Amino acid sequence: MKAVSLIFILLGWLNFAYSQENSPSLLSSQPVLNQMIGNCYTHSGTDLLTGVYLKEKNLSSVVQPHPLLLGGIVAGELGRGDIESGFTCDMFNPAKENTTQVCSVQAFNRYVSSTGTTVLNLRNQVKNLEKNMGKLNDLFSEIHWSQSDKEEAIEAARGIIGATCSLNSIGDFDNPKFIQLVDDARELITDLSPRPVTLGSIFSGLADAIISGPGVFLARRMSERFSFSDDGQDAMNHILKTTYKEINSQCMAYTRRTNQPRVPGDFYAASTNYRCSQDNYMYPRRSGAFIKPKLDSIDRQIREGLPVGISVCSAIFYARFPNINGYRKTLGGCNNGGAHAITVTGIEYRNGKRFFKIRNSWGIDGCRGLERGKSQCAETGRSGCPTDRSITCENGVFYMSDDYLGLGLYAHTTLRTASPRVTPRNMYGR
Amino acid sequence: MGVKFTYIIIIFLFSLNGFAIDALYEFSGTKHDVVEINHRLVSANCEKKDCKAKSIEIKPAEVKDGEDPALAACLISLKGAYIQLHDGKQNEESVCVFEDKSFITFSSIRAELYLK
Repeated sequence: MKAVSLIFILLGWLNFAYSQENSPSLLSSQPVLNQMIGNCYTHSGTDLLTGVYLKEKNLSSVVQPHPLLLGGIVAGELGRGDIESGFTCDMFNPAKENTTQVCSVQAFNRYVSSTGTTVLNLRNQVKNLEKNMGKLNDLFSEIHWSQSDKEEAIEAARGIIGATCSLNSIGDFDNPKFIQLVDDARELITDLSPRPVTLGSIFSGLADAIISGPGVFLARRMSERFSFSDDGQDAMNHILKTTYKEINSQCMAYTRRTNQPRVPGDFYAASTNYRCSQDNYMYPRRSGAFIKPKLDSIDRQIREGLPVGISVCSAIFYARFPNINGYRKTLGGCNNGGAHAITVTGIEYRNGKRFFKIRNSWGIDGCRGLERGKSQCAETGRSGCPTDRSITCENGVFYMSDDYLGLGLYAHTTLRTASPRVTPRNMYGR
Repeated sequence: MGVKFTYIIIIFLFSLNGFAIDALYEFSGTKHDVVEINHRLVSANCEKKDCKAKSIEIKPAEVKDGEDPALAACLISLKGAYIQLHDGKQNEESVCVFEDKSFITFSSIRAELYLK
């Protein structure tokens, strides 16, 4: 009888010990990146692609594509215009279909540096291009152009020329689409700029006004001339996609010339059978028992060797508050700092408590401020302030306990392999 | 004896942690030494003289979701320029550079923004 009890105790202990086992640490050999420019989800999406590649190939590290370039190409393919904020799956699902060889993080950083510009400047110029093309596109949809519309059109055309010139330092924009774009912008400026009044111009203007009403003819004429006006958004997306592709192709040429690290050719194909879905539970605000199954789901995926993209309120990285009210609004939105996409890459048990290992994209010095945040909270004398039993950080990599992560967590991804479609033909093995 | 030894080990580990980053590199290879002053990781030229990086008041600027608040603060409220650097092992870190050539890491800026 005693022996049976002992066996049961032993089995119970083994079960407990097994359930508290640390997971493998995923992506631990990948460099810590620093995204800065509002594209955290492209980093998290790229991390998911990387995780799947490492799992499928049974490797510990791989050269990653630059998330900004990959994100720009993907956004263009999707017709989303430039990269805007989004969820991890918004990056993963289209990016796995990518067939373009994208420049690696290391190569792109060195290439940008060699041109004397910065990644941010590049990004800003692409944004300027998008903004000004969008402005003109909106103006073309109007029937009548007022004087201020004309001024805005001139300003937008100047913006297009300026952005294209700046981008020329990092890509070869001698392709016909860009030359046409700049020529059209120049022509628009010439046509709309005030000119000396001549008898001929008065008659021509009068004739326009009689036929079509003042302003109408001018707007129509401009619109007809401008190369992207017919296709509107499609043409703009095409130009943005071409912009990123052009920069990427120059970076790839630099890679070949200077023998920089390259992303493996089968990097994206490794994820083909995976589909990313995102469970978003920001509204209404929930925690505790509701969050527990979400954390368990993340845990299961990590143990299968797949990283998990999560969305959190950024303030949790500074541990300054003892409870959820410090990080989340009553309805669920984020207090102080907004939302942020990151990646869970491991599970670690510390004194019986589950911790989630988190890969951020805020650089190698990213732990700075955490200890001060904890101290600030403790100095207020409130109970329940975060301690090392809630959150720790090493070299830009965070570890958050179950209960602590739950204070800021509001979405997570699930990667599923696509099951083969069952048809009557293959159901019966014919 | 055992307790003393443990203390020595702990102090040693803390000291290692405190000097985790002592230099950052441009992608062209140029090395920049860094030091920690008043919880800020700044350029080494701030160690012996006054500099903007260690004295400037960190003020926030408007950010959109996902955007790094340090970048917005650097460019808009601190009127600095930014450079992306790495730690020698391709782990990235960005810094905000001021007119006097001193710089502060984005992580230092971000921490002060959140902890105000």
